[in-house]
Amino acid sequence: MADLWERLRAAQAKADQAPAPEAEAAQQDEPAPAGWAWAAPLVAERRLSFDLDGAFWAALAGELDAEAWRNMLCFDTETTGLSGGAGTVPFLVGWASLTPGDEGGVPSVEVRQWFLRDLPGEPDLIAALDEAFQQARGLVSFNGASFDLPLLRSRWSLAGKAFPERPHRDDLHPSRRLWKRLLPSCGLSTLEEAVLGLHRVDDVPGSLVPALWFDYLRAGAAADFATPLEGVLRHHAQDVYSLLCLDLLLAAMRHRPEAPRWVESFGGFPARTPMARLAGAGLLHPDPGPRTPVDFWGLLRLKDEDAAERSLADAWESGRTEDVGLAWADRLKRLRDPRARGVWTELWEARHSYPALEELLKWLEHRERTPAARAQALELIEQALNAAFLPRVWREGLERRRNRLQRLERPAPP
Amino acid sequence: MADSLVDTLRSDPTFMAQVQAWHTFPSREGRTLPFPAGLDPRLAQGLRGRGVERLYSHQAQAFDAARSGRHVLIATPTASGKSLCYNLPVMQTLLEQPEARALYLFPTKALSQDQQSELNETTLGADLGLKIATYDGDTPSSLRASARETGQIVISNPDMFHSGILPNHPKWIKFLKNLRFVVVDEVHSYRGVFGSHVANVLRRLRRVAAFYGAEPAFILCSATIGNPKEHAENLLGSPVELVSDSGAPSGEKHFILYNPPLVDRVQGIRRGTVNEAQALAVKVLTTGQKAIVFARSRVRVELIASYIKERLANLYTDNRRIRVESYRGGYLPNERREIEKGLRDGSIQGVVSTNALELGIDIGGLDVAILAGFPGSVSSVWQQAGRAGRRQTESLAILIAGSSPLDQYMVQNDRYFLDRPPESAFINPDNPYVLMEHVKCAAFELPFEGKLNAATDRWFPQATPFLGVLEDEGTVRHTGGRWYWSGLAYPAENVSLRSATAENIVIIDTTGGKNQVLGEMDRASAKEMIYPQAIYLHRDRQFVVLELDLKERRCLVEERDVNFYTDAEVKTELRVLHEDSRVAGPGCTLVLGDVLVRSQVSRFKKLKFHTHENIGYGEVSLPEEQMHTRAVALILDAGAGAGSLDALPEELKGPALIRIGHLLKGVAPAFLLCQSQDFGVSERLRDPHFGVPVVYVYDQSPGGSGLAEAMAEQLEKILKAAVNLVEACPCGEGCPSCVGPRNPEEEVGLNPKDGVSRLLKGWLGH
Repeated sequence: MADLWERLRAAQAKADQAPAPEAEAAQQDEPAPAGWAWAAPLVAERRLSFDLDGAFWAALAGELDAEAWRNMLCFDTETTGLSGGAGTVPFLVGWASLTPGDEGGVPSVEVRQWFLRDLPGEPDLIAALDEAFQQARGLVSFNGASFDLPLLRSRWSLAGKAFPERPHRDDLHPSRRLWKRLLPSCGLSTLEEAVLGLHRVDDVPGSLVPALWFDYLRAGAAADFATPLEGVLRHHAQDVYSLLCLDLLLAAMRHRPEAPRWVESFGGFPARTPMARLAGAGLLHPDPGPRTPVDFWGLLRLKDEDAAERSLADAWESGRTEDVGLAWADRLKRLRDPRARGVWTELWEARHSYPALEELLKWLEHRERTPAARAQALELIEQALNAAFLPRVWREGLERRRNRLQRLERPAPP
Repeated sequence: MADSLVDTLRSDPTFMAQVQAWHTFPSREGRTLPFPAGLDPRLAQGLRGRGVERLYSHQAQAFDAARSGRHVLIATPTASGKSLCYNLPVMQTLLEQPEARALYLFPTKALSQDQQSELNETTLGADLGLKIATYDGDTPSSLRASARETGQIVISNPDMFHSGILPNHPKWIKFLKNLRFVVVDEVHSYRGVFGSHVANVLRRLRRVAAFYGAEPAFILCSATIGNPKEHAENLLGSPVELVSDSGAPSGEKHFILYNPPLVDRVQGIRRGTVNEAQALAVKVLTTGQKAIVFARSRVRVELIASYIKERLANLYTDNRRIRVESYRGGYLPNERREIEKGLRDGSIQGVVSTNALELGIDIGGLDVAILAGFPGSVSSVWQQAGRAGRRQTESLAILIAGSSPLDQYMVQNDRYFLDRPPESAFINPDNPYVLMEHVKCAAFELPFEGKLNAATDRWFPQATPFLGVLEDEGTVRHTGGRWYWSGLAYPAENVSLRSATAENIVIIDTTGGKNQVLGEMDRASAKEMIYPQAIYLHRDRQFVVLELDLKERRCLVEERDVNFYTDAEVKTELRVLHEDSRVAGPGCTLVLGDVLVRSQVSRFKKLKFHTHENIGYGEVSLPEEQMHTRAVALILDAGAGAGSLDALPEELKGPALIRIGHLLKGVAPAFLLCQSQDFGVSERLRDPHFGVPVVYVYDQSPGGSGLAEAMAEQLEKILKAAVNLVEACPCGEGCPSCVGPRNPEEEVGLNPKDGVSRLLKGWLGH
């Protein structure tokens, strides 16, 4: 604490001696890294072009019209922080977009990236992006509604411009509906692996990206940024390409959610040797070979909520499988419909579905809340604990619930 | 009505025997002016609807100044209609120019909610259609966007503004570029380190507003302090026009200084303030007067309130009961709102409170204010006394002295007390520790340009060395002639304007298996008041603490019926971390530096209700509390002055030192212009660090707030005042009011009062 005084004195002395800093002109005669071009003294851009993976396209082509993606930008930003406040700067902004192939053939993908070499260049970056966004028909993002777009709007404001609003689609929400209950997380990287079958190798974790950029600045913000930041640039490019692939997949599912391929398997994708790399950019194609479970209810809702509810009820009547049952009971629970209790009871008794038992116990304890309901809950717990097949984690959960219920049943001390 | 109480008291010989002084302030006529020319007829109609036909002179003066774009400070007494001083010019402007915007800052959320409902009353009543929004920690996210976009008056507090609004200013562009007024209420409460932080928040506010082309006029309100204009100008960094002459009328005010009778002449022990206050309150309430009792601690509030209720329950057994409630910050918001409303509408006749009710919350008018003990500052006395008195009626304020040396000094030297101007408020916005934090926040908000000085940056001309230090740390980057934020963190998140962390402990009633939130308490007090086995008093009920979980910030209690309460003993230890400077002081050496203060609660006393006698002890085991702060060490080296400690017999040295500490605690606040709680004193006969007798005086705000330095500067004056106090004290061998009562276990034979007196005189070189 006390040395703050000394440090301030030293800093003042240094400032007094230093000449007034002139605006340092960036070395414009230094060439941009291979594949990149200077759009402004401190702003570089590049384009990558390649064909969309043929097998991926073949599996989805029946459900999609590639024209719908012309001039749609699947974009992502890398920023100096997660707060979105006035001091958070986007230093890498880019997108992937699709151009339909000739006569319905394989479409081509273009990935564009804009890189900010140093902080004073931000106004130029915004100006360049502004022009590009003006030309777009619409935007696609992952969590852009809460993060990227508010951030970009702030940066446009600070630069004295209005952000060119475009129709925007955030793929986070449909992804959650489809996979929230089935995957540990719904972040883009989890979806990439589990759904798209895309396994990155030697990827830079997103959390390290801001620090890497600041390190690059502190090391002198050299003209050759592609060498120290190669991992960051590749990470970002893969992000936008994966987002494009995910967007295509979601659109296909939305088009025909009842198609058996989604529920039973991602059939139609032949087994293949993984990891076809593109020269120069090192990006990966998706390879969604193995089956990824999908929330049946979420899938139906992608298209039409009401029809979905009818389909779900029908599916339960005809099939009574666990995943359909859980989805249907969940729907009933949200509507506070007591039929949910019957569905869970059946799933537990007939199929020993532990998730159904848990929901049933929660319903009895917190929704019905009568002494009779609690007594029944205790009975069910005893029954379950006496069965031989419970995994330890489930057993512990049931015991905790039982202890709590028993405590509540005790009369208050005099 | 109140005059019959005045007569009753005047003719009561037992009461009058204890009255040290009785001052009467004459009534004053109001001075009014017609509504300003051009006042929007809808506003005029709204005012008339509330019974206001003319403005008080100071309200008219404030209206003129604010509308002319000048910064203005309104420093009139409580209940003088201050809110109209700012609401009127702001609303007039908003009606003329609906695009204009105003920001209202209140120190706490409770006050902002009060203001919002008052504003809604005015605007709804006149159907002005002005959009008023609160933006604070409680505002749900669904309402935040509309507050930003359409709120014409946004009500917030400095903390939220600092960490929630300023760092996200691009989202507020519409509000900021049209910002015409900033109202800052209760500026007297922005003092010390907290005030220094707020001053910097205001600098950042004006800096960001200027970026969007706005230069709002500030309307500041302050309670009576010694230096309102100077303080406001320090806070704002710009000249302000002072409006202090109140045009509001007031009835005759009586101010009584009361010293409870001695119960032990030899030891000098007086009847406690708790019992005196409740007896007096009952007397007042039973004559039909409305009263407020201010107590100095939460426990005392609970005790006084429950004693009053017990007494009243005996006297009135029918339904014409007098309703008395207790009030303090730890109650739930809905409980507090209910009590405030009851006071306003008259369904509650009496309230016992901590200084939580001293500040602006509207509680209507009461007839009598009873102050159970000196509240620590002359300003607080006038604020608390000011709660008594409605528009034109007579009012009474009674200050009951406690046994502390300060209370006794004040009540026995009433001219010293009455002639003394209210304490001044001091801040140091350029305090480097404070400034550093705000330079970081400001750099995050907008880059700094070039080489800074008064011409290039109005708000932070001295930021250059700070930016240099930050650049070395890597949190800012100096390039292209500017300083940019280049840190990974979000600075405002880690800067708290207040030294106490706002993480309150929630108190949960688990009686009979329930799980009900009862109240809350700040973390520091929690360790000293709601440790396991402590008795927690909450309104009329007693609870025993079952568990205190500091990590999860909860305390589980169970209702019990007991006849005692608890009082914890806090042990404090101090370690020197760094010596900064060493100077010769009056009769001793003074060393200023950083220390680590460790405090721990290990034992508590059980005290019986009413008699307050000790009926037992209990043990507590809680982790210790650590604080890093500034201190001044008074080193009593051998030789001249304080070396006279050596002249004392061995067994007297330790106790004498402790008594010096006791005196410093009692006398210094009057000179350092703080409360005795603001600093701590620790006496060591054989100090491990310096090797000789030392008295440490350390600042209770982590990081320090200038008190250690002020102590060093004023030590001579303080010691002289201490000598005078001891000499003038009527006791024989020492009493709580001077050097502390004689302790038969520690002293053998000698008279502690004489010993200390000789020691002090020797110290000062007589």
